[in-house]
Amino acid sequence: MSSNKKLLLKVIILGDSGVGKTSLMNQFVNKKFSNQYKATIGADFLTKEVMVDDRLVTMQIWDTAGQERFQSLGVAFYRGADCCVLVYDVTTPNSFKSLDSWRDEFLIQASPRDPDHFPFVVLGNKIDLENRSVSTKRAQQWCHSKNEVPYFETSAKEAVNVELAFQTIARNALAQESEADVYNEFPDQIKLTNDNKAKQDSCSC
Amino acid sequence: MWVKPSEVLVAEGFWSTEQQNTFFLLQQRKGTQGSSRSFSGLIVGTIDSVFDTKPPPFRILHQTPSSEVYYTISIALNKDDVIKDWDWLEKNILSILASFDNDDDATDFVLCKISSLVANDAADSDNLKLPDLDSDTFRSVSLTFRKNFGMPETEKLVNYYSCSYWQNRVPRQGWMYLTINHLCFYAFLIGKETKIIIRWRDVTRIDCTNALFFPDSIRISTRDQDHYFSMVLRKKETFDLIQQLVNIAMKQLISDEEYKEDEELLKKSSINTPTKPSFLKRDLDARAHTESYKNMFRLPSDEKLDGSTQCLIWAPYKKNFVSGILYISSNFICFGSKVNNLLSVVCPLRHVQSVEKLDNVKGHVSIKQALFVSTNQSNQFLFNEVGDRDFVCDKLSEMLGKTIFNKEALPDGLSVFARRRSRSNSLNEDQQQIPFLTLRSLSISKTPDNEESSSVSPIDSQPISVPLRTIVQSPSSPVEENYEALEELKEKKWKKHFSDFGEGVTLFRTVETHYLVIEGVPDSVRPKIWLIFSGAIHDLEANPGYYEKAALAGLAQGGPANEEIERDLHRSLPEHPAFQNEMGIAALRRVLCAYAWRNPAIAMNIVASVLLVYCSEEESFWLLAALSERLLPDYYNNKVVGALVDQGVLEELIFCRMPDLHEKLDNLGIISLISLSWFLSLFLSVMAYEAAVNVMDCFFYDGARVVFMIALAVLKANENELQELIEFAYRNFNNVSNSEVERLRLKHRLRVVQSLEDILMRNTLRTVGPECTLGDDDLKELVIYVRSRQSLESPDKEVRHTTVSLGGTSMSQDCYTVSFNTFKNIFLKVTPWGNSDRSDALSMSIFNLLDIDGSHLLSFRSVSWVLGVICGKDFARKLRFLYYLHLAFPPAPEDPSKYLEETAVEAEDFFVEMEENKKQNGPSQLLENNMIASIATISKFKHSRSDFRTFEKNYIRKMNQDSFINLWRTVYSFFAHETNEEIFCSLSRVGTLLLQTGEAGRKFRHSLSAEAPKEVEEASKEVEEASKEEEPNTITFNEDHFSEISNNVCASSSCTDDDEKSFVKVMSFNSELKAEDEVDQNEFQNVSKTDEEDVEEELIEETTSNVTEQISVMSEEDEPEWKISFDHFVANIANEELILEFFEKYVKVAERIKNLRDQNEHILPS
Ligand SMILES: Nc1nc2c(ncn2[C@@H]2O[C@H](COP(=O)(O)OP(=O)(O)O)[C@@H](O)[C@H]2O)c(=O)[nH]1
Ligand SMILES: [Mg+2]
Repeated sequence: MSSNKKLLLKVIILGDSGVGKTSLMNQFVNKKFSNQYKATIGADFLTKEVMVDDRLVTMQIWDTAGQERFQSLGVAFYRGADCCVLVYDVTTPNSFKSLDSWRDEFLIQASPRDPDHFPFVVLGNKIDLENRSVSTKRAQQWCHSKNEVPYFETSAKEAVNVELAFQTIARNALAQESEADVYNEFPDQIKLTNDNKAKQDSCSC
Repeated sequence: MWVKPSEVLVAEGFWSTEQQNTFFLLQQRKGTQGSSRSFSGLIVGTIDSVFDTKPPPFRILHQTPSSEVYYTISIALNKDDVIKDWDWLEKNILSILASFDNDDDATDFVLCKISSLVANDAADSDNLKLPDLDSDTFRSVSLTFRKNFGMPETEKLVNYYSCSYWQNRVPRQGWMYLTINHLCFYAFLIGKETKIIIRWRDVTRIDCTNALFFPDSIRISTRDQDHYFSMVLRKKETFDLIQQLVNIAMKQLISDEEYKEDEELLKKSSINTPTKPSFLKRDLDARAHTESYKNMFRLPSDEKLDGSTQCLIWAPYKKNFVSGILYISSNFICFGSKVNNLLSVVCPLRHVQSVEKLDNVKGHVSIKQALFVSTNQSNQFLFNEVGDRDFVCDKLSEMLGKTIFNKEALPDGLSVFARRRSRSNSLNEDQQQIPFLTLRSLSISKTPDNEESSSVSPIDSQPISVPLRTIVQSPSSPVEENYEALEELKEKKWKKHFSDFGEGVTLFRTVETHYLVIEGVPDSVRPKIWLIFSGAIHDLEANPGYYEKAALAGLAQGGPANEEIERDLHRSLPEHPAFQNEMGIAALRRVLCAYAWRNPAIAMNIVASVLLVYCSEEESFWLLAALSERLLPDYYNNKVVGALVDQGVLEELIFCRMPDLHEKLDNLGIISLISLSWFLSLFLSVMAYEAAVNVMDCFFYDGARVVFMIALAVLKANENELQELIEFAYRNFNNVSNSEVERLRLKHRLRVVQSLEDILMRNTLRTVGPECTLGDDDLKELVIYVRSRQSLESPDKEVRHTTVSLGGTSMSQDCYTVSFNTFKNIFLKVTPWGNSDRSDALSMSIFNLLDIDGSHLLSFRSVSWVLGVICGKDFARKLRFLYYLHLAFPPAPEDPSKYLEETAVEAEDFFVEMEENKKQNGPSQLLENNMIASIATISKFKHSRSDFRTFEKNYIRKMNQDSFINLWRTVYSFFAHETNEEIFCSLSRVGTLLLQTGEAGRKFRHSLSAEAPKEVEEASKEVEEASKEEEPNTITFNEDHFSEISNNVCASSSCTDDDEKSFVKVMSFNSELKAEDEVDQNEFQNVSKTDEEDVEEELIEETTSNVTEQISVMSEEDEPEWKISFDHFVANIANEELILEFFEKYVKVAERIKNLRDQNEHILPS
């Protein structure tokens, strides 16, 4: 890997609807919090340049909608991710419970070469709120059981730990990227269709 | 039946002459009499399918003695009909013909006479023609088709076409049959049949190709194969029909609705359609027409087109006539100019006051055959030179008599006058009170009770009847004064427009209107414009009061839909002041909940909030309905299918119009992701608010094409200011028409729906855990088979939801499920156990075992697991399963349906006790382990109940005699068809040994129990007594008897038809050769009761087995009963080579399922 090459890191943010994914991304990229973000439709992305260990890299951060209705879109942009950020809301236990599903979903859709060592980062968001109901310990235990996934408690609203978390994300993504250089495709597990028929061989207009 | 005379050259050949006179021959076609297929019959069949003609079996020919030429003059499907015509000829014609000197004259006479008869008949039958009358030939074709393909009555033939099918690069000439669910092709060439059946739902692509090897053909692709049909007569018609049918199939896949013929529609269109081959084809044609009519004028979805005719309309604003087409449908008169967009009129009959004929108006010579329509909206229409004027007028009067006008005030200044209508006076009062809802209204009645429980305060539920814009300040705009002035200017223009072109829904819609809309609609006029041009106004007027009730019901309803709404309320249009206070939020909540009640799978908060800014709640509600039900179909459902379809459409549009850009975007791979939010939020989430609202103006005016035009324009020049953008869009992409969009939607819907099906299939496959031993090929075949059954069986398609995540939490995904019938099919045809007299009973118990949640549907995971077990090589696993099955879900001996309930109840107890058992063990573990572990255990508890595989890991309890007999009976049935006598010897050897083992155990334990405590002893005595009553004969074993009987058995088993008896013999031998009837059915049924007693002590996890097993052994010893353990069972079977062989046999699952699929191709829903 030549170190002059400008690197693009693809980061996917997953988590239930409403946990603060969009807010976190905006806090990191634009350094501000607003409670005027619209609900995300399908997916969006923002890019930001960051320095990781004296290297300039571009982070392409994909924000997703947590609703089931958009699940079928997953395949398209999970592919080729360098890091996956799982977000839950410390005030809603259900969003914590869903972490497992999101993780599975990602591993299945993205089919990374080495699922056990794919970099995940878990963020427990909204710690500025009073009514916290998922304990730090519980979250840490979960992360521990998933092969020592880094864990941060953040507040997109008050910019707590956001910078630090994304620094770690970038670093881990970079590490993944250098490995991923070796293999480039992510094959399907079971091939169902011979869908390699020419995609658009006739245009009827 | 007389036919137009036509020359035939070969009078003989394939026809045999039955009767003959000087001028006529009556012939029957060879190969049609009798069933035996003679050689000539074969040839005839071949010729028939090569040529387009498939003549009926009887005909009458005319020929003169001096001529070589024959004419067919009559054909018939049966003998009686042909004889009738024959007799008529002999009686009326022969004598006349005899009087001609010249043969040519005779021929002329015959031809003329017959032609006029035919013409006469045609006229007659036209009058008589009722909608149901599929023509005779069509019916006979339909019959042959059904016979050839074994299709049931219900599978209606739509049409058939001659064409050739490319089979291995060789064209086969034959017939293509199109039905509602299938495309079939049949060719019969020199004794070789070609049959193709393709289900529409499996089709992944259709197109016309001109590939080198398949010139000018229609290509139909499925996941497995490409099919090419060429030399299609009427190719365009065929292709359109295919496309329509596929599309119906795709819509079914989305909505699970079945295709139904629309009787009403048929009557309407059949009036002046010429004789078309099929009733259904006509139905589909009528549908297509009505569909495009509704699209053109944005009419409610239940509107049905009656007919159309050419005419001129008087355009008062420019004082001349415009030519176009007048459409009449159940509730509307519409007019569309020949020149696109020049002028159109939508006039609901509810606004019509009178319809008059006008002729010979003084000073206006040009007025003839005219109709004058006056409305209560101060608009009047003069239609001139109306084709079929009198008919149209009568029709209109009749319909006016039927429409019920409603007296409700119209919202927002749409003027309504009391209507003086000549024909509607006689209507009585209660007819006007049409219940506002159909079926769903039933659930409304429940809402009063629920109201308390929901968090709805009375103020909350009071709809706001004005736009939010008028209540809160509009967003602070930098050009405040300018804005006001602009608005005023626009308002003035619109006022002028309304006075020139009329007001209300009946206004003249002209190019001028279009320009005004593009310039931007002033806030005050918006609701009117949006409602009128989207067609939402019709629903609004037709359903007064609907919204209030829907809102109440929706708020009270709760559930996941409402949770989702709640979460997004504050994230919909947060920047707008209207939604920065509780009032606006409450209004949004009401509208969304009301709509979710009408249509639960829908979410469209962003669009809804914008509507609310400009319109009242009720208006917004109906605009939402128009949007998601008509303008953007399937957009907001739970898979956003519609938006995915339109992404495909957009991509193709880009590809065609800006190939360079397409390439760039394609390389970036982001085209679909970006466009999705454009579509779903109508640009609201990506454009400046004001700009996006203006886009909405155009969208409501001009339909879906606007979204595409804008999207294309945005892509091309996204820095341009908005105003320029819309102009730019219309200037550069005006050639994107709504009909093109519709056409492309058809095309892309196919792709999207099929790829969603693929995802479903992949999801389903993904649920298969590591415990399944089937190979990839097996699984693939299995999932394809299961998918193919989804549509065939109603229960399968009802519930496609299962929880998929292996981690076990909330996220659920759609998957295929397996119904009992499907499971049974697989079990019987694929597994080695499916071929015995107990197979039905076995399939039932296995189904119950796997059906853990009692939904009567199995998860794909469990089915693949069980197939892996039964068809695999691991005999111990297989036997363990069989053994366990007979403990927990013993197969019923005889009538499975009787047994079903009992089994289910018992199974429940079984699991409940199992769980209790584990809880008792809980505390000791808690002491030792930390918190996490205990959480893990608890979740394991949950799993034990929801997992059918627990027995694989757990200790399996012992089995009593009844269960064993049942089990042995099953094992025996597997071999019942064997002819190898050795096997029966092995069987009886093992059976005997096992019985002996059980008996030995009893004796041993009995002696032990003497030393046991008193109470236990008493209890055990009771048990023993009880068991003695059931089975008075003590079982002992005797070497001599054994050999004697096993010989017997071997002898008797060779006559395999009486397996039952020979089995009983084995058993009866074992029980001291008592009479056969002693082995009573009761014994099998008793199993359940004895089982319950045992469960408690015995089902304990292996992990804790060291300590607990001893306890359980102790407690077993308290009951001196007949017992064998699983280990006994396996060990004994493993000793017998022949039996073991059977259980070790590996089955090629993939192959067998493939066969099953091939057989099933022809079995269709009944
Ligand atoms: N108090 C608090 N609220 C937050 C925080 N992050 C997000 N929110 C709020 O949570 C809601 C959902 O946030 P959003 O970013 O749209 O969630 P997403 O669906 O995961 O993208 C919004 O109302 C945010 O204002 C946070 O750190 N603290
Ligand atoms: Mg979001």
